[in-house]
Amino acid sequence: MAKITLLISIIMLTCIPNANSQVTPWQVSAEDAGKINSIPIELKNLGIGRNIFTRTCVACHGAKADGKGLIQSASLIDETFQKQSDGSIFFKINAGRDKMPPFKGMLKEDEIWSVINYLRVMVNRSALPPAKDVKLEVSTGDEIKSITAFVHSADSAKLPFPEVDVSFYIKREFGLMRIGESSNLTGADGKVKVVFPEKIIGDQEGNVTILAKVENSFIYNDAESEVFRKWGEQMVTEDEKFNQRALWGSRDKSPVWLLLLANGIIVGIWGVILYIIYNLFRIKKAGKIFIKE
Amino acid sequence: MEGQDNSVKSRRRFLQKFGSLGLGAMAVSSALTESCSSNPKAPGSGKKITLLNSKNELVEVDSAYISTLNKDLSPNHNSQSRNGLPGKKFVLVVDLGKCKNARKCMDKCQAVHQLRPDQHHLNVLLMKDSEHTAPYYMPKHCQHCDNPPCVKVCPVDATFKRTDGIVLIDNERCIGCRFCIAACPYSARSFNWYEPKDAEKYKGVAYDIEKNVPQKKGTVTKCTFSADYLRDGKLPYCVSACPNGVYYFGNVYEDAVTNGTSGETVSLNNLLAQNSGYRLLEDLGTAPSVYYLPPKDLTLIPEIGDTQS
Repeated sequence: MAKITLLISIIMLTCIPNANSQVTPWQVSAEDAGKINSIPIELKNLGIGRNIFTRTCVACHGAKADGKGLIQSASLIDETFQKQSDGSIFFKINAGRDKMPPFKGMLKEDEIWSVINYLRVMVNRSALPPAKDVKLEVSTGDEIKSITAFVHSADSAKLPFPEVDVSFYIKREFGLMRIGESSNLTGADGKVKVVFPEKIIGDQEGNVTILAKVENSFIYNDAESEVFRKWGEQMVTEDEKFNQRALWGSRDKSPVWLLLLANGIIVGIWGVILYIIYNLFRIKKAGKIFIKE
Repeated sequence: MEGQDNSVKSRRRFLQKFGSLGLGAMAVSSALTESCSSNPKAPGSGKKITLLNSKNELVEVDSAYISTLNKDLSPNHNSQSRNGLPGKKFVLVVDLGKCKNARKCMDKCQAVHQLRPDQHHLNVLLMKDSEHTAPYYMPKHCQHCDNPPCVKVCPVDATFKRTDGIVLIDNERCIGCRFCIAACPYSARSFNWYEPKDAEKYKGVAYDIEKNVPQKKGTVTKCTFSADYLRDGKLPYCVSACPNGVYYFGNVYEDAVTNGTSGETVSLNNLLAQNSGYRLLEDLGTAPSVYYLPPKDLTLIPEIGDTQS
């Protein structure tokens, strides 16, 4: 058994540098590798980590972090990756290499640590306590346009849940547009309120669909609720602009001057030709009369 | 008008396809008209006719039991393709700062639209504006102009602009004059000089204007903004294939664009204002529907001579 492991590790060691011969190797100093993770692995921090992971990492590393995203990339759940120290992973996320962009400017240090915590938990999901079911109720204030989400237990007791992060969105053509702060935590009464932003365009009548969601949390299961309000500005379409007469219009929408000019030329030329033919006939007729006489 | 066209075309195609069975088919069609005029629920007339089914088997059916299921056999939406999707005008925003020449958008586009490697609906170009400026990669699509020079010059009404902003081309009308290629200031169109890629594979497939497939030798081809996907409410092929978050796509009327990679939706006006968005060759007055965000904070500065063509 030990021999096989040794053999496999030798093959791995010889193959990896060959396969990635164009890739510059990571150079992590002992100091960087020994850096201590400043964020403890706690359920509420894991939610932040998961949020950042879905937003920035999934595209290349895949939803399962197995390296099978839109491009082939490193697996973040295999042993070689997980064996590294937190400091070493932090350095790599921070500095980047080739196709892996440096997240130095894009993410805060705390956020990078949260992502690392989330990656640690990913391979060890069963160790987490099960998430609680929640229900979300949405009510609106009409005087100042605002949305209030009430998060409570799924049973009939409706116990309010404090400190739950609720995300608010407006439905758009291809996705959901976030409104409110980046984090909207419920108060002691289980409620959180956000103000509906100005200059949001709804449909032709000004209707918008507003969604409240509990998502990416490790403490609570996902829940969502939506309301439909006439709070937006009315959508103004420019269909008339595309149906007017223009040079790029289709045949039935060509500009009047072009129709007049083109048809004028045709009528003019045919007119001359027909006039000549008419005159030729007249000459012929006149000739016959002349011969008779 | 178009409905009539279609029925004429499909009948012609039908006859071409089963040339050897032409006579039989004619007999069938006469029997069909007979059966249509009679009550379809009448008991069997005893008059059997021979039909070719979709499994390529000849079957005998009593003429009384024949009714037309679907008159329009083409699975696509060509009859509506000249009208835009109501209440929508599409816009693409390209963040040049994020493009790392992964070319996933191009690969996807060429695979979907049956293009040879040298044909582009979308091309990622290596740019260097002047001697002292840094090079960057620039994905270049058809700009879907609101004042399109290509549509102006088409002599046969093959290329057209829809109310949702998309400029499309109908290969069944195109005569291959290439005036549009000459007129386009963005070099966004390409020509099918040879038989298109996988021509055999696409044989017999009904033509779809919104996908511009199957391609036809001797016609012009161009980016469609994935109009077939937009009809289904999906993001275009290239936008959702990008691993680097370069593309934002959305509806101008709604002032919202969605990033194809992260799925994040933002306000179009804010995005353009905060990042000084611009359009290509603005001074020509073509009014493109594609916006660019300048190549700022590049994480990977390309080297000249680094092209992967």
